[in-house]
Amino acid sequence: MQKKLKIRLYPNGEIKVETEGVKGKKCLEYAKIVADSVNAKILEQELTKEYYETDVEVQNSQNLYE
Amino acid sequence: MSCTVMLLPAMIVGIAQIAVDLASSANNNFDKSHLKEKLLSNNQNDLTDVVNIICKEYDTIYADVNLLVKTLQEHGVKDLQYTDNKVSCRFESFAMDFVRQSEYEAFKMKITQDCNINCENTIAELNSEYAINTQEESYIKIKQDLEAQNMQIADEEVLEDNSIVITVNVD
Repeated sequence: MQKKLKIRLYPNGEIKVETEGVKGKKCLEYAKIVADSVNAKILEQELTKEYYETDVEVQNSQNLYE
Repeated sequence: MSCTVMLLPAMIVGIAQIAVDLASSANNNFDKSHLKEKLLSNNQNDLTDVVNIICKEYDTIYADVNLLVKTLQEHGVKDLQYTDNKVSCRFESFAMDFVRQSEYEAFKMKITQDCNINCENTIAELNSEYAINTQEESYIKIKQDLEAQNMQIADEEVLEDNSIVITVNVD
């Protein structure tokens, strides 16, 4: 699954940052890039269960038999 | 989705608050001769009595002087003068002064006008136009920073509510 960062800029000036497929704290790092860009303050933050998961790198079969 | 974060750029400060009518304020240093001069300079030549002139003060959402000046220019104000912490201009039959103590705070707006004239629509329009300029400025800055960090923009679209959505592919 392609990991995505979605940035929605509303006409009232507010900005919503969402990540898709990004696990762990990385999603907040992406939000920080956007926040720093416009020197923004955080109005609201919602973390889903994906935030508390971590990306696991799957070893290939060759490595398993080594 | 792993997280959703709502941000408010430093250029804009929340929602405009309710006006404080300085004319009815106990601390009001109300210089009517000065106000009369301001209004007369706006071709209100038939104005002979300053009794009806009032000055209202508003909190504003405007925290970026350049964006405020751009918004006022686009709105068609006249006699625009500004420094980092003070902006003054005229629009139709009222004078507007925007003042703040430092660049880290939002401007306060003082409107000097005849009490029979309603300036609420103009304020609402300015707020809306300033917010749209904030959206545009944010869009430019965010795109520049994404490109500077070699982040690939996969898609951009404008939604029905005039929101702009930028989708970035990340690793």
